[in-house]
Amino acid sequence: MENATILSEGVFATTYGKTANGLVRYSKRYHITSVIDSRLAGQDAGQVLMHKPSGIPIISSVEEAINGHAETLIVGIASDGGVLPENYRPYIRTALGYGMNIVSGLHDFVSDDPEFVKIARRTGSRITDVRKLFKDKKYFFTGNIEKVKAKKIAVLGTDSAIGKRTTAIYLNRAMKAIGKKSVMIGTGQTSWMQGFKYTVVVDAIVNDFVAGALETITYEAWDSERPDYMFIEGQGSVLHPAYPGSFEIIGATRPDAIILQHAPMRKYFDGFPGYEIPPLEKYIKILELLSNRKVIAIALNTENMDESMVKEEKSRLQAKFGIPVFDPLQRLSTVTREIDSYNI
Amino acid sequence: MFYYERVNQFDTIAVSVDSVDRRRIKGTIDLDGLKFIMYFDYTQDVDIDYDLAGMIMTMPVINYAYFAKRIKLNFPVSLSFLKLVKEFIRINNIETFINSIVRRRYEFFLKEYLPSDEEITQENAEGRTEVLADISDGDKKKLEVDDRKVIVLSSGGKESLLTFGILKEIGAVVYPVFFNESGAHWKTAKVAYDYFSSKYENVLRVWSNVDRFYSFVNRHLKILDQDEIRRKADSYPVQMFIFPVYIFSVLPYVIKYGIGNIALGDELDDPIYEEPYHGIKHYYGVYDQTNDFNLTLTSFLREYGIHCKVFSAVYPIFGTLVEKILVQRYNDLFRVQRSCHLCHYEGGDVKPCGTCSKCLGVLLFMLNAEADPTEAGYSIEHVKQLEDNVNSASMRLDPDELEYLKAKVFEGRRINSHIEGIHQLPGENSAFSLVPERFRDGVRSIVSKYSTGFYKFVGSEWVKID
Repeated sequence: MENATILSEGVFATTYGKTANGLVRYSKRYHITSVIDSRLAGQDAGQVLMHKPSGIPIISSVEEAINGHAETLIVGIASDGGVLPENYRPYIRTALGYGMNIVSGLHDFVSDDPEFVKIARRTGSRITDVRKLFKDKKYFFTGNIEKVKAKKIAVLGTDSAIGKRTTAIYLNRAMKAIGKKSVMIGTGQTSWMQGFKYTVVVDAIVNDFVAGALETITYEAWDSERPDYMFIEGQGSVLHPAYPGSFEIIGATRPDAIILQHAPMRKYFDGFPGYEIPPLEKYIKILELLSNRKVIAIALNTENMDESMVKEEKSRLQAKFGIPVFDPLQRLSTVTREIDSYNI
Repeated sequence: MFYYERVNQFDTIAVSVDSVDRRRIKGTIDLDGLKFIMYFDYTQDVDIDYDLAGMIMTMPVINYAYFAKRIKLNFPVSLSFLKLVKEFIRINNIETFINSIVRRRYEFFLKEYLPSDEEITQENAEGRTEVLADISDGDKKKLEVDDRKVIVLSSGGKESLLTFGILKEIGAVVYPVFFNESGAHWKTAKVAYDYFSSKYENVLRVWSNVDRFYSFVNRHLKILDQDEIRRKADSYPVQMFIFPVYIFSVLPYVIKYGIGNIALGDELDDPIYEEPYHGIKHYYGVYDQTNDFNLTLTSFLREYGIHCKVFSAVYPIFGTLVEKILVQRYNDLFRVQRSCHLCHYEGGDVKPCGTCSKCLGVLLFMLNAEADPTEAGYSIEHVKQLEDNVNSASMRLDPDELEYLKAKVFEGRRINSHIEGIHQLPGENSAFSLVPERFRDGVRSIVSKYSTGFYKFVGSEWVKID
């Protein structure tokens, strides 16, 4: 496993830093040795993100990352439009200069940038643009999805950058912990970076082939692993003005149930303050109509909430919708057993 | 009571800048009323501001931070410098505790001030030195540098000579800078300095009485055996933070000439020997000669506004290979090599002692490189007595390298080829990645001609790679 530092200058532990946040929480492809964000330098990344030490230091320069034996720099920002911020360029330049490899999930391809390519050629650095890996792939929907007998649970959300992937990862892990065979189906660049074997980066694929890609990866996972469960990472949000998602996931992977991720304190779509997030019941109705399946639980993103608010909101939503409401960052054994007991 | 409290010698060590002239900075180091006037003199006019002068004056003091409750900087500092000083003190305190006191080579410390086994803890190693300073929010420097230019910190030893030779050959604009300490050390460097001055341009020098400062403080440390520290030894009683003094003191030249690189002669730190002591990570007393240090300083200098890289061109190779290249490619430079810290004048020439552990190592290197050590000041007697001396001395070479040299020099057997190889360190995608890009291919190309190939650290051993 390559040692990697995550470049997350100015955004770690925010929604724009979700790639970095995800990699600090979970990474099988890279061994994360540090996070670069000078605002928080000197602190522990896990402590900042999860109030739990992770042993991953936050630092402020590429040189410090090299001191921690990092051989790869991962661009850990999920910027609007996948644009590479100007202030990230010096870090990439420096890392390439030292012969470090670069991994980026942005739409702006590092490997197409003449300045970066020139340095990489000189120093022998390898540049991996994750979205580029999927850009030219063509997948066709075949109907093979009907052969998949695992219980497929899609984790969808009321907004983008709300924690769908993290919830899917944690539920997948918790399901394994109760003795069930479970597989994570990744649908974004961060999942690929985190090392999930069955991943397609849907927003890098030509629209005509997205459904085929989702079906292909889901069927492959079934064919190779024969799991009891599959947790499918959602993308965007069904009502999001800029990142509408869920249609292809519902259409192509034909989930047996949906878990809906919701942030009670988020009033507007992330990054789009003019657009109010519609009420939760509207999402549930739409998703159940689209999928002809049930929303079986609500996963709470507890940002800006204290313990008592979380408790109160859980009870309120549980009473209102009659389904489990849980915090995916807490122990998941109870909710997982409950999901397992459903006849879905 | 914590161990570091038991050996505390000073409440406050205060650093002040007294004056800054075109060719001299003068400051006072006040150790609870004991005052030492420190000077740094430049052989050319330089433009130094007070904050830089203060930074230069601070570096020597870090050597004694473990024995002080606080270091007070009586000049405004930037937040990044304060952070750097705190980190340097934290690391150097550990080095002092582990390598000067616990894993000591000589009995410089009085027995009653040695720690018990139970006292060997991370907390005691780090000590608790406070740093007091006023933070300035002055403008960041914006120095345009030329990345073809490089200062080679020149000690007269084999690494700096080879670095000079290679960089000069591959077209760098090289500024050899010699640090002229007021005492005996200058003898070691003077042979090379005289040679360089007669043959090359851009030869620079900084004079300082910093070595007198070390002696002054050591004399006032009640925890040291004053008889023992007067004996000639090839280790210092306390000080392990020497190179930062050199590097900060050459910054005025960096600024004057817009120099983009500072090259030091750090040879390979074999990761095989990177073992924590009682769970405490340390650098075997040579933190200031590691890539970790160079990278930290590079990062700080960028923050300070000077885009100058601090690096070593020889960090992936052992001294054995350094000497071989020096002897075989830059023979004129080999002849001025003096690595001994106990050099003396003999018939007008500077001669190494030939018997200290440093000399014994160098003699092994030279014989392995099929050189004639008498060309570098050694005597036939030194060579004749080498095997006996090596077998009875406490050598400072890595065990692997020592075994290799003993087998090769005394028995004519080659037992481990990686010693003369180029090493790709953990975290590196290719060897020499820490050498600035501009020089990397040139350095690699010359060194590889003399090496046994490239090696990568896999598991816990060096494995040859294509």
